[in-house]
Amino acid sequence: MKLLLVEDNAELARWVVNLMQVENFAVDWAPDGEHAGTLLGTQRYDAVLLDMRLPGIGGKDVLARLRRRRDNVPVLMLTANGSTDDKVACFAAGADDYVVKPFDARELVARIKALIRRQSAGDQGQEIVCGDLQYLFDTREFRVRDELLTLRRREHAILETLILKQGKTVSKATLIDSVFSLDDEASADAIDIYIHRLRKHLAHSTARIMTLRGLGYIVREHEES
Amino acid sequence: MISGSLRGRLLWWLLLPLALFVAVSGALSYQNMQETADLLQDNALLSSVRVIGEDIDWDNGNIVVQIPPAALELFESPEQDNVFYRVEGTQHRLLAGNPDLRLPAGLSSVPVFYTTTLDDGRRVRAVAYVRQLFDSGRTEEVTVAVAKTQRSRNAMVSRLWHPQLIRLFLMLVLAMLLVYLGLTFELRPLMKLKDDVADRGPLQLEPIRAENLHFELRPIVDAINQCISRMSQQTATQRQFISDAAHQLRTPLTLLDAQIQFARQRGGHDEPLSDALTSMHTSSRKMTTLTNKLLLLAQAESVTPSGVQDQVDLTLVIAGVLEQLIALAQKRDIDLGAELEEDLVVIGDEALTTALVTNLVDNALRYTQPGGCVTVTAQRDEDKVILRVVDNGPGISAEARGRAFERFYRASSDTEGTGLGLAIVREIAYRQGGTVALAPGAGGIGLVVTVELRTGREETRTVDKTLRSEA
Repeated sequence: MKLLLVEDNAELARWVVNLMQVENFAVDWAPDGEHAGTLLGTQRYDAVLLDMRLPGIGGKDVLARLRRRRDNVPVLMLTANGSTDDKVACFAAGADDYVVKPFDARELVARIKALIRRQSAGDQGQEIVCGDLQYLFDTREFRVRDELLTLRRREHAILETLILKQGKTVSKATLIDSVFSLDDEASADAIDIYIHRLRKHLAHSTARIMTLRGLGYIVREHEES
Repeated sequence: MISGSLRGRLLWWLLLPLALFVAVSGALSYQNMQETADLLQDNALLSSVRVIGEDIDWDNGNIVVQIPPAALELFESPEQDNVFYRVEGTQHRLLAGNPDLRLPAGLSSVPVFYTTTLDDGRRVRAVAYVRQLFDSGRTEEVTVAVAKTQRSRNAMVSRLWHPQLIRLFLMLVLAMLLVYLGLTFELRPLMKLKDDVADRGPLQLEPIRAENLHFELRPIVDAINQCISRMSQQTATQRQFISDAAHQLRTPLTLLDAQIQFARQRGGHDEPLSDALTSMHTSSRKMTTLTNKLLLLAQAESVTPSGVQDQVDLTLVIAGVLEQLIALAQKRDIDLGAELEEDLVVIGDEALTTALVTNLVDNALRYTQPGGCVTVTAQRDEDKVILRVVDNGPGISAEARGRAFERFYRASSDTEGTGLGLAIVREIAYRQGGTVALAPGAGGIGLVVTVELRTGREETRTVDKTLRSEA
């Protein structure tokens, strides 16, 4: 897989290239927006790592030109500060994702891979990933490390509601709504039981159902201490 | 008071010359009254002496002295002065009257006024003259003198002088009163200026408004404003420096981080080396956190309470922060939760409010032992929203509580932290017009951080208005 890194700091670029090469990516490097434009016009890349602050033509302009040419290569922005303004600006310019410097190499690789996978899968094979838990839109299946997770109907409904929220809290009330139809007798205790069972199912996964007391439940990747 | 107070000093400047004027004027008028009284008294004496003198006549070759009552009635007064007279012929032959009354030497037909003392010590005013009496070729010189004590004359001086003196004093008092009132009234802008300067918060670096001030005060205000602007310029420069420094530090930190990560990927087989690289990675991450917090602090400092007026939904902010930090809570086996009222809107900056909540919850999670509990509560209290972060960790001792907001102060050294968290929280709370306080939790366990923020109710009001107009 081939990447283009657009980064004006030569030394940082050199080490990012090194890091990516370890992960078996082929990396081209462009020190500024003009070089990047030339390379993007002639070469085909699987993903672009684009620094937001570049001398001359800025990262956002490079991206805007790229999108104007209807080139939808996945672009991951590298931003210096994680302010909301910066993030909003990234997405507004047409970025697919962003990472804040200094970035974790593993996270960067994971995000690049996810971008590439999403791109190649197209609209048909969309999926949501949380750690090693995978949700496939077309079949509505859950997989842990590519192994199918067999769940009962209501367990499935709850996990689906949680994963579709992608890292946002889901209140118990919403979960009750998603599980019980009008005829059923809705019970908050039942939700606790299903959550308990789901946690057992996910015991070997890095994805966890976490409780935010007073707010609801959330599916997140568990960080090893 | 006199040396310190402008009012006092100005009063002295007026009081001294005015008092001097009153004294001189009083003295002059006293002299004037005395002269008037003397003149009146002398006139009476003169009339009296003439009446007595005219009534002396020959009777069978002898000089007969008759004192007409009118001559003495002239001196009748409530003070009852004693009146003395003396009539003598040639060779000092006493014809009538009191021999105690002395006569001056060298008298003539022109009356002479003089002051003398009687043998019993009484001082009297007197007049004397010589009358020539002719009778059949004989000439007799008769000397006539009348004197009176000074009581009625002195009484007249007092009667004339006292009202004058009282008027002068009243004028002095009135002038003082008017000056005092006038100064108090006219010094009010100065007092207001004083209050304006004294009541300023440490963050308030806006210039003082000079309108409504006397033009004499404007130069002072201008000078203060210049000083304020220099101060705010310097603070701005300092903030810019911190912000620039933090930005500049990030680039090499990112580089260092990438290098360490590369080394870790390669050196995985050598355990001591791998350990060292892991520690290096942790250190570089700590430095990144510190840099980020310094940047945040500089950002918070660039905000003024009047500058941030956004309506921020605190409920959403707290939920967002907890979603971000649930992973850390899980990692540390801490029960994280919230008790929130609906629709809590505060006035502030969303990014800064988020940073405030993040720092509080992050702190609580880091200082609370595994198995502990951290709860965020938020409720409305009149025009404030009260945000509390409650934990059941070790808490902060009373003596450390006062210092907890200092930059780089850390209550304990065994947790990873920058020592900037609470400083940032306080800075943001202040900058958004709020307060922050630390207290031990219920039963003395754990820590409760209470932040009060201004409620954003303008929107609700507008809605009310539209509803009313529709109805």
